[in-house]
Amino acid sequence: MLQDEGMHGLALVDYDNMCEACATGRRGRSGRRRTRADVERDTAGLVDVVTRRFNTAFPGLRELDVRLYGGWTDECGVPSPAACLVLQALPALRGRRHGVIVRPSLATAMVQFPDVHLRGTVRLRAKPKRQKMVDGMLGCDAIFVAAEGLTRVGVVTDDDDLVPALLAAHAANDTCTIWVRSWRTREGLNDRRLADRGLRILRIQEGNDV
Amino acid sequence: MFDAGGFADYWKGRIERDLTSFGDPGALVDVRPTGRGFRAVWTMQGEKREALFSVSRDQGVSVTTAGRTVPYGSFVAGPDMADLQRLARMILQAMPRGLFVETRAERSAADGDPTTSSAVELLAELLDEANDVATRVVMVTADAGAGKTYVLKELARRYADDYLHGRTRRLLLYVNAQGRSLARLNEALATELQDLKVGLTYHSVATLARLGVLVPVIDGFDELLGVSGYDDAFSSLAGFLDQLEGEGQLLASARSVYYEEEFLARAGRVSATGDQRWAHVPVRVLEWSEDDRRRYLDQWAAARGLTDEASEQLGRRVRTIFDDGREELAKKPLFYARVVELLRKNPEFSAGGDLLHALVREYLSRERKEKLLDRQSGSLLTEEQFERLMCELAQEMWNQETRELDSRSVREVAEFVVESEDLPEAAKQSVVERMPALAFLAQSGDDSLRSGGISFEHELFFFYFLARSIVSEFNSTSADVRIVLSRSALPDDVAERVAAQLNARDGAGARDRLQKRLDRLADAGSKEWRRTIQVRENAGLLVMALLRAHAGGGEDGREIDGCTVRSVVFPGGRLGGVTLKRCSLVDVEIRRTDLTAARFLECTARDVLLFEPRVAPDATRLELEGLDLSHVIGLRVTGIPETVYDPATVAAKLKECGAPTPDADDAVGSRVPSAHVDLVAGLVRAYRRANPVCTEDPALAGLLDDPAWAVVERLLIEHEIVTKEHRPTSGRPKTFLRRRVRSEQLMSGRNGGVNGVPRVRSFWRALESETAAAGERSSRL
Repeated sequence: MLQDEGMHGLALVDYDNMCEACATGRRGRSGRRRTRADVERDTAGLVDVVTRRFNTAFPGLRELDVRLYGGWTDECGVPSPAACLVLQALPALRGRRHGVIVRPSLATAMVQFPDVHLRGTVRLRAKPKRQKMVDGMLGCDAIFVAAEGLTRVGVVTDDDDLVPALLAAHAANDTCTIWVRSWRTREGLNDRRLADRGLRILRIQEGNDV
Repeated sequence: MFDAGGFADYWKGRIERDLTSFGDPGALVDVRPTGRGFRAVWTMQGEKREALFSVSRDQGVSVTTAGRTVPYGSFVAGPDMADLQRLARMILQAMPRGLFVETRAERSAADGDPTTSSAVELLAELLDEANDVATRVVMVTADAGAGKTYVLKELARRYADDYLHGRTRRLLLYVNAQGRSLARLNEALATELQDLKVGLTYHSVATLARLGVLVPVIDGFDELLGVSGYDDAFSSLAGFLDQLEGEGQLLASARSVYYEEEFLARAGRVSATGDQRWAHVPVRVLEWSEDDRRRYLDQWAAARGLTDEASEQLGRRVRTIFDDGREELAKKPLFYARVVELLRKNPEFSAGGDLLHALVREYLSRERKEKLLDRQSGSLLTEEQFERLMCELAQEMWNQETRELDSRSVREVAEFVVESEDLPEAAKQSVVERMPALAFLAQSGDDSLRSGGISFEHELFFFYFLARSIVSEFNSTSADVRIVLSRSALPDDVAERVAAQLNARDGAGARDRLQKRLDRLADAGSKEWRRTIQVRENAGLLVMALLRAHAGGGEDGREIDGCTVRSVVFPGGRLGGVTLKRCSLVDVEIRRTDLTAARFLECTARDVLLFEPRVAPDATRLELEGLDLSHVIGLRVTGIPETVYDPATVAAKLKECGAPTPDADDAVGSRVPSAHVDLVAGLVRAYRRANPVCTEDPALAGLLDDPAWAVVERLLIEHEIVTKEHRPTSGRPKTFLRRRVRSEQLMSGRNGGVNGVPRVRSFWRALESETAAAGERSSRL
């Protein structure tokens, strides 16, 4: 059970999966190369909408850490171009939003192992380029943090690959885990089963909860 | 890095990595072997680039492009790649020359006396020294207000000027980690480069640093600790060191040596690749001497066209202010400069007991009477209202874990204060609009991301107002002090000020009030929480300050009788001349705290950990009934240059301090001959300066030449305490020993200490049995 009455939240965000969908209404990747301005606008939009959703899901929330998961490091351990762009946008997004102190950061290591910066979360040399370990990292973090019971946890993704981890996280702490999805997502195949288990599924646009 | 056979592979990979950091986002770099090197093709700013790299063990790497051949470093620094000339110009533009008085610094030597000279010159000499074995991490420490930032900025400015004039091939990139809400080092670098408006990405900084043409200067490394938590902050610095692959240099500053030591203890453990190589050089910026102050006053007076007589007169008035027990403050540039400035404007300025308080009062009064005026020239705010505004700003910065607020947050704070003070509408607007120009505050750059950001002009002003807001939290019985203590590492100055203010109001019943505060801090630290470590350390810092204040401050304070201190960590610092009598310590960790004047008389200890505290057997009293020797990890003993880890010596020294510990002979968990223990302790000392250590390091000669070393080294390697590596340096390959456990774990493992690591314990057992067997064999012979 949650021991902390300081009302802290942790949003685990599948960045590429959600960023454009939340900020601009476009679903998934548009295929267009994103400029720095796109990244700043989309990330700001994503952080803002996540903060609002957490604020309504957990009334009284005072602080929110937003961990953005994505392909941040290539095979050589070099930060990816996407990481460089998002990183530059983060300091301006840190601060008070909707009354909540918000701290976004790039997730380059797991919560449990902050000293192990995982290499190759994006494979630039593969054709086509692809992400690796990102879902696994996010899912493990969700379970670990929920089991610790020190914070409210929300997984922000449209990706069904994370359903098992969400269920496990919810089982570890059934009072403070939520799943936040894009408003365009239709009802998922497992929504009813998850809801029966008590997992709250929220649509990122308010008023459209499952 | 690479072995003999991997030389070509190493350079192929390295050229690829290096060029990737300058290439277009997402574009791949194609590096292929040619006869004597490599041909690389990549794209930058949409244009295809091509260069030939000639790689030689003896002559290094040279690059041929567009018919010109230049060394690798010059190629990367050149206008077609990093364009460091442009970076130098932007640095000079961002750091215009100001009044600068040479400040002295001290460089500790591994053996021998420390070197003292001009801080800028000392650091420049250090950066110019040959460095071919490991990344050099220069850690600069100084108290708040002692001029670290002043020195580091001047150093970066001079290097930029020298670079433009061809006097150096190295640039310093000053990164202010103090004023921004930066979670990690990479974010700090990215933000600084963005502010300088140069087209470099933050990971190209690692490439440039590896080549020795750029040295990142991280001012306020300890400020990064709070935002993301200890492990994240330390691992972000360690991660950057990984990228340097044992080359280049890094300069970092911190207020407290405690964080420097914590980093050194953790570095290596938090390396992602286990391949990190660093050597540590500590430098301490010293306070201003009488000569420094004189020079400052002369330069200041000359810049304002003061006559010699006026300057002399001003100097006499300044000296008067710093008389009466405030001489120490005159050594801090901030105080001295501010007093000079204030006395010039108001010759009647005088200070009471607290100079910072007097300075703040003077500024508040002037601001209110001269600037914050309505149309009828009346003051818009009372002094109390103005002070509350500053306190709210400081508190919001602390809560947001930043030293700089964006314009929206500043406006919100101002509106909150003026509305709760019920000021008229016109006054509200006026105050909100004038916030950026108010005393104590400074406005940041005007770029799109940080437009209108506000910070305190100096950290000591921030500390002053933050302390007042923390006192208010303490005085409110409903406030959860855990929240305020969880933000980041509480500065010593704030803890001192909070304790002094709380203590000043205590009259009769002061001891009961002290105990209530100790209990409140204990409750904050005893709850498991996501920031428990931070809360316990900050609570411990406040506990120490409260005890010192209650005891009366000096080295021979009054006794504190019958108190209980529990569930806190003392993070470095000093307990001063506090005497605790018949007190209880429960669940307390004392980490590298100076106990040389402290006295624990007839006290009890339960779950108390002593981690390398400093003691003076002739003054320190540790009458701690229940103290477990296995919970004592190292002692720093006055008169002994190195930390003592040997359990028998630790027990003996504790006994000298009055601790009820077993006799030295009974204290030893494993019976390893002292000669062998000394060898392990010597290695641990070497790891304080570097990891890995080079076996050819002259400082290790006495250790590695010892006949007993062979068995110690073999067992260290067998038990994976250290690993042996052969690495090429600028000359022939050398052998290194890399530490795989923390130093204190290695030493405390001998008697099964609380931080026991199974393989460390088995190492000591193996060493005991091997030396015993060898002893038997020699006695039979």
